[in-house]
Amino acid sequence: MRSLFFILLFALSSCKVLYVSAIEDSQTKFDSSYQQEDAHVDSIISPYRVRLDSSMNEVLVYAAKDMLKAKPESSLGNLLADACKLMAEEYSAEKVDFAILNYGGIRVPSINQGPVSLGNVYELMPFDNYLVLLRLNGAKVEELMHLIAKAGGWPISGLSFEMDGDKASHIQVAGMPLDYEKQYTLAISDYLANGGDNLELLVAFEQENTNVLLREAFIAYFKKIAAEGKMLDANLENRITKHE
Amino acid sequence: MNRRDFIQKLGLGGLALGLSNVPLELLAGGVDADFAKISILHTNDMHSRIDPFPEGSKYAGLGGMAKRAQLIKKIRSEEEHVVLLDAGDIFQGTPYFNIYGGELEFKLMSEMAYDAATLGNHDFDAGLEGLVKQMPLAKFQFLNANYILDNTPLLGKVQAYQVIEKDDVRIGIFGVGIELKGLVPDKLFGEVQYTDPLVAANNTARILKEDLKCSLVVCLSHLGLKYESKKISDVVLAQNTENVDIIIGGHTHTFLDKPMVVNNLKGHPVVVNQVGWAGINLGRLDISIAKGKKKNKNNSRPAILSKKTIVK
Repeated sequence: MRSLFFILLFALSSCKVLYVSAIEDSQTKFDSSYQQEDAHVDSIISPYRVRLDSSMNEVLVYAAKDMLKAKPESSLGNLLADACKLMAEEYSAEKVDFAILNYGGIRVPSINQGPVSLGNVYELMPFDNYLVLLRLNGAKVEELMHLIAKAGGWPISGLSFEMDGDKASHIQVAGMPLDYEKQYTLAISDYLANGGDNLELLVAFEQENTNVLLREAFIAYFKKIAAEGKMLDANLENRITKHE
Repeated sequence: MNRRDFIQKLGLGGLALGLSNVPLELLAGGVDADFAKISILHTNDMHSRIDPFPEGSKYAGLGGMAKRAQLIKKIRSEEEHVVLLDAGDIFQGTPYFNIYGGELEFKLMSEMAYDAATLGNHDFDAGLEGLVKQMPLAKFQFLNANYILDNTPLLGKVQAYQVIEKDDVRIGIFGVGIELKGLVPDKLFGEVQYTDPLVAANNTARILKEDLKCSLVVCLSHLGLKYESKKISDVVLAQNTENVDIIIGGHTHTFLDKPMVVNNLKGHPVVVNQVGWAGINLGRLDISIAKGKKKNKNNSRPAILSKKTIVK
């Protein structure tokens, strides 16, 4: 598809034209109506494409069942938040109290029963967000959980709460009631830690970067599960419940 | 009647009435020896989109570098004087980058004979070493005028500006980049120091226009088109420079149907363009420049007419 516009720039001096520059602008959109390809360029791409496809088809692990993304809590969300917490502990060699992911950051609706390929993980997490650690006191953790409740519930690991409208209540970390004074260590993406998805409250906190991409952490976790002879599996565990 | 006569015979008032009957090639200046015609082709934020977007995605089927190469080849067969430019963020966005580190992107751009590109923030995603490693594959110039590159491996591999001569017209091209701190992890951009793009743009454009006698000055920008805040952007840059004629921008992935025209410090129009991202579009600006009147040009006072004005 080609569109065309004009911009004419006229330079005048004392009503006499001294210099004229006309700029005609146009654009070509490479859509399905545009079929022609440069065969030579395609032949350069081809071996890269073949190798890429074969590496993206590498099976990392098998999923025991279909796991879906949903709010306020989902099997896919639990799987990935658990992976985040566990791998953050492994990379930092520190105890991590809990992990959160944003619902919108998971870019596929499900992981399906059967083989899970490297390509699937790229689809799931195309962004190059880093896995970072933050330290928050219990009062800030409560504020954070309010925001997650307000967003309708996001993937979390290591804690639980009740959603009471826009508010979080009965927050527990590792089964213990939240302690406002205590410092908690949180695993999260640098995107969220930098205030993404309305989490401005996190911007003030110093980040400890694992220097590992979230996607790499997922890949490592999936391979680890496979190496242990297990399949990917996660269930709903009442991490986020609606207050009755 | 040759083209200059034709234009001289029209006052500005008459122009608005008369132009709708003017054949296209007369406007574009291609047939008149007194006018240089230069075609600037441009992309921005291609983000490693080698193949068209896959099925099931928002932009399914769009883009593709083999298609772009074909069109560029076709345009080159039709036009003698083509300049091919990119406004940065060549890297990152598909597994092609994750697996091959940008090798294929530079190879294909060289194959298409890009003249120059500026650096976007994502071009630092493989670190300075990662970028430098692929540079031997790039047969085009990297341009940036506002990063200080001392003590970095980019020193000597990225130039502030470049002058290209086409159809006896000197075209000055330079690049400006966005603040990397906060956008790119520190360790990836190392000791690259950001300086005010506006200062760099004004200094560089003045050198190009006054000292190096360029008739046309093109800025490749990875600042972003415009922001709600006062943050430096292509629009702010256009408003606050004196010698920049065209800004080809990127970063904000803005799909402009047609370029913006912004008046600069002298009240002269600056054309600002950006064509989305991922190589979905190829932008094109066909420029005709009257030859041999450089001396008087700076004293002139430009006016602008858009197609819309003409149609009225």
